[in-house]
Amino acid sequence: MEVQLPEVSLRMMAPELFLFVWALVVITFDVVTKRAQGESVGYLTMVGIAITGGILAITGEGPGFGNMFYNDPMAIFFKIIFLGAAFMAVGSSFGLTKQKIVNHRGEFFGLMLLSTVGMMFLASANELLTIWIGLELTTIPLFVLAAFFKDNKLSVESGLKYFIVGAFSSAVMVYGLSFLYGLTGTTDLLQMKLNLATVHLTFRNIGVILIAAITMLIAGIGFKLGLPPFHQWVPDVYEGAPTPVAAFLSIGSKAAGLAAFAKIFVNGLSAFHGVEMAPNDWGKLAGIVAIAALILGNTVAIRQTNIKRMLGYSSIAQAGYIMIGMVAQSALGLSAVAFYIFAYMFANMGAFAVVTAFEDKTGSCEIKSYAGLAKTSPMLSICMTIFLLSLAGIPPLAGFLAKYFVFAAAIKQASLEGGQWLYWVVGAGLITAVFSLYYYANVIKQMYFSKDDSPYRVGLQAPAMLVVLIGLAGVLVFGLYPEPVLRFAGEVPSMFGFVSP
Amino acid sequence: MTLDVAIFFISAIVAVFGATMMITVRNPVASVLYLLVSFAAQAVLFIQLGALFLGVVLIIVYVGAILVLFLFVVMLLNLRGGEDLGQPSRPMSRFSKYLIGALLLVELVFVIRGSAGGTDQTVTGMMGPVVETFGSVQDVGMLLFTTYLYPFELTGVLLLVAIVGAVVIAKRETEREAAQKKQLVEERGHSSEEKVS
Amino acid sequence: MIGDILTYLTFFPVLGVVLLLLVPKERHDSIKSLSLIIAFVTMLISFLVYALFDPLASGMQFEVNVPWVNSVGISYHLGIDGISLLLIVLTTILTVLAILSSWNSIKTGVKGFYISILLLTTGMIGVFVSLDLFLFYVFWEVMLIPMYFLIGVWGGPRRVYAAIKFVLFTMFGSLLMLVAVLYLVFKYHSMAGVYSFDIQALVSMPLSFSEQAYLFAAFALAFAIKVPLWPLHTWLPDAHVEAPTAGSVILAGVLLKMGTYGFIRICLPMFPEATVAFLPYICVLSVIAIVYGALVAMVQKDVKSLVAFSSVSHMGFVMLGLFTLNLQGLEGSVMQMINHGISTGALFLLVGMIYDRRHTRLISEFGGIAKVMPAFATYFMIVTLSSIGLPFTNGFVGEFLILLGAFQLNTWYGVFAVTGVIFSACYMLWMYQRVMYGKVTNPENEKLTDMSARERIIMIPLVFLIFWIGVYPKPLFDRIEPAVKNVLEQVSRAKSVQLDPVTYELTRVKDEKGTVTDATVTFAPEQEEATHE
Repeated sequence: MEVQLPEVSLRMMAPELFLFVWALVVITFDVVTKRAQGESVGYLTMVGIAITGGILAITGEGPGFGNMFYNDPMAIFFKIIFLGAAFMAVGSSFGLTKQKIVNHRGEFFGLMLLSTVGMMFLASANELLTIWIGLELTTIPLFVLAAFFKDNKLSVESGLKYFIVGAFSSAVMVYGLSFLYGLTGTTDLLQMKLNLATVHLTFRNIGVILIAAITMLIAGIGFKLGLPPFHQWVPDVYEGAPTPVAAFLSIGSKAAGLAAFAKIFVNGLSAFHGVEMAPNDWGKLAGIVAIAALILGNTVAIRQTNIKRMLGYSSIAQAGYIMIGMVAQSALGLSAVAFYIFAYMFANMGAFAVVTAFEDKTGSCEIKSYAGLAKTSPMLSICMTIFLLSLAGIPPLAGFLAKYFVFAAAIKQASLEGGQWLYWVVGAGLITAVFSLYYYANVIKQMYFSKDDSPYRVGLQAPAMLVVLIGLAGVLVFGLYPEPVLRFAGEVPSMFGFVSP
Repeated sequence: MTLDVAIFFISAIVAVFGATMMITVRNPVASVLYLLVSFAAQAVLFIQLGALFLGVVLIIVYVGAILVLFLFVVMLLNLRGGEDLGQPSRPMSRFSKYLIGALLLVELVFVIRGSAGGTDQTVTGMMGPVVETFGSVQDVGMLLFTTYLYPFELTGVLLLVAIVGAVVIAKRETEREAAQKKQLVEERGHSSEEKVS
Repeated sequence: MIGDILTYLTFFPVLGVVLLLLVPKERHDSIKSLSLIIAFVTMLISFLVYALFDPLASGMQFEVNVPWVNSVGISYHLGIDGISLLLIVLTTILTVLAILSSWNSIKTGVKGFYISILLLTTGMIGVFVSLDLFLFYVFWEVMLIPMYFLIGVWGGPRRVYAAIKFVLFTMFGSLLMLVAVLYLVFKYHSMAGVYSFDIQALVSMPLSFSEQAYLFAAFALAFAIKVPLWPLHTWLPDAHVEAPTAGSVILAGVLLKMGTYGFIRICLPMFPEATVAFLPYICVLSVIAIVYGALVAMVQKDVKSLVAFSSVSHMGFVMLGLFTLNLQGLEGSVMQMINHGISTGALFLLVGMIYDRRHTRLISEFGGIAKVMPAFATYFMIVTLSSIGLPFTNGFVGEFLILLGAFQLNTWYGVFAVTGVIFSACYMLWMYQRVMYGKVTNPENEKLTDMSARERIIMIPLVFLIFWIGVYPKPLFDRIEPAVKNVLEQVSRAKSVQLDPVTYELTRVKDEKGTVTDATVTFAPEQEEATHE
């Protein structure tokens, strides 16, 4: 038997390998210094992420291990998002690690890095097995991070809940993947696309298995993204987990799930949103899920009194908006998705950084306790306001453009033959966007409209300040001048074989 | 009825029976033992399908190593059967549990009917011919260390992460750390009181 | 340099915001003077624009067109015609007056207040100068947030409710508009092969009737909420009553005009067929708004909410004028937009002055104010008369033309609209009588001081404008007319109407089936003759 190795290039994997080694360095450093060096571990982590970003910039495109690891523009774009989210999450967790985590600081940051490594591997994967392993590698550290406060009941509950739900969804997903493999005889997505295109499946014969596979995959990835009806874990986990972890979860793990979704559905199963296979059209199923996410996320968020739960529900809704771009099933849609996550990262990480700083100072996550904050901490309130407005999609902030492009992609597709159902998705998105403004504005209302001064004066530590400034710069700059990011995001679907718009 | 079919049905029934009992039995030791039975029956199924290596690995790793560890843990913790397992679940979650079960059953029926509809050709057409050595140790080894080398290595990272995570979750605080923590909490209490005033 | 004057005009207040951020927040006087200077300079720039504007040219002037987000065809395209020119000048003048009026009444969060006002100014000017739909939308939304803060932070007792109601109403409308914009752009892309948000490019795009109807409905809803057209007006009284004086002035003076401006700039030229088809419905709603606003204003106990409902009535006139689709109606309507800005702005300023002294606005609390504050009473009288539309004040010019146009369109619209004028005289004069005349019944009113120098300075330019426009409105009409003719020409692209090249009359022609579907919009020939006189 002759030995065949795919094209291997470790150079292409350099960022991942470096970050992996760095995670071990961080953990070891903490142990070697007898856990005395509190802040330096965090700085070490941030430096590592920054260096990884630098390496990523010079890596370029190409195969690292055949199709199983391939650096295409999409992979690079998502890796930037993952690194950015990790950087900002680490930056905002200094106060928390100082106050609440006596030991295991190294593990806290190390696990965050390991999760990021998993996401980065996932971003480059074009094959079912590696996608699944990447997703597992992303979430398993997050289970631990969610339960990091071992003597806090809520944190342990959130960790356990996340673990059980995560394990269950992984099982469902791998079941679906096994069906796909069984149907197409390959785990490679490109090959799968070709195989599926050559065989005309119909509902009578094997199509029903494909439907089952699609359903299970949507369920499995839907769990990771927090899309209804698989969303119940989201608010509890967001509330219980350490706040920077919740922030990281909302961007990193969500972006990873979306990357997996885009790869499997928009690429691998793209032959199946054609006219021939109407019953297998996954887009409509995903569209229904997106509508449910929009309605549920945006309405339930209104009733929340805890800001972390509110942001949890809002993240469900945001996932719904992102799915609008996804179900458009077009090059424009995928670019819109990429841009959306990019813009969402700045606003959400910024908002969470402020929430973390506030919690560190006051120990409270209630929206009510933000009352009058504008009088005592005006700059912080302005930043928070801008982040929330960007989340709500008010121009000229980046969040508006993100929503705009997602809607644009859907409307463009809707105007084509057989795409009219997308108007329903867009309609749901629009109406619920008004709701979303209500609950985001509620926080602003608390901060500004109270006649009394807040009893707290919240400042930011240097790293958290950096995070907030990065978020602010991202939201403002990419809102006013999105051209470079858009050009990059436009290349994201280039490997997917769409005709460019 | 050939011997093959007889073996399949016997091991399949044993596997399902073991799994059902594992969930319903209240004694943890018995539950683990039932799981073991189920795994053994599944190993037979694998071997019958020609996946010799998988069958053996299932026996060696799961039955031989992991479940024995389970047994140890269960016995060490000295759990007894019939303990109060907390509140009965809410009707909503009870309903969803049955719903998921029913859905999976429907799906199973569809899959069986779909594959019985004489469409094996399309599937095998995509799969390519099955080689004679399919499922042998050598074959699996070749694949694992050539085509799938990268995912294989990646699982190594996954295991490392799991170990780190398990250590973080399971490790008890030393006295020094507990004292440190107490001090920190007190400091924090003071500082926040000052800020409030 | 001069070519880019619109950019300077639009973003000068933002520069002011940056400067304001550098001033420590305790130094109230510096903040106030600085923002006044910024607003004043903005006003001077707008005067410069007015001076440089060529009234004879018919197209857009001072155009700037730079690609912004090239990959999707968004450009930074500015330009003005006579309509936007006048609205911009109105905006800058009212901003200066609003800042002056809040000199003493805003005592908390001074810095944030003036920053909000300046940001709002940029948003308002931006809407009027944008010729790119995307830009238009961005500025449209940008105004929302400062206004939210103005009402919510510095407003009255129910400010939180009013603020969120205002934001949600507007947001709902503008999201619909966003979808319509996107549809238009993709439609254009499928025809021309490129993406473009350029209003002028999109205007020339042929659309089927059903497309026009849907798009018109989406845009019209967004604009009608802003106007506000009955029955979408419910946010307005809340917002007006709760907003601080400066907020009310800007809200009534400029923000409401955004809606009508949107109609005249986007709805009419882009969807002419739909405009003609929807015309009767909108006219009926406008007439209802005129009568309803006036009747409800009559029973108000609070002066400010009386003025707010009078706004509903007056904006009904503007809408009616727009949809008469003849030269008089449209010109009168644009004129009325300016006049309503001036007179209602002035009314809110006056109400603010008395509120500063007495901290109440209830009509029953007053009486005999004229004896205590003679100057105040005089100014109030002038503004009241202008609001009623007495000849030789500005209000007369606009309302008269609109009524003329309305009678031309359909006598019944005219008849009902005239009752609105009569009602407005009733409620305004009745209110004036109850507040100003009679004996001073309330002892608290006896020691009221008359207007201060600052307050007189605020009122003098407005009074000047009231009489100037009332007596000699020709310069304004010179600038409005080419723009309005342009709009009418664009509407005449509709197959169902015909434009008379001399009088700019739009006549409805019979369609292929030889039937005119809606009798209410037929233009009778004898009415047409009447206008030639």
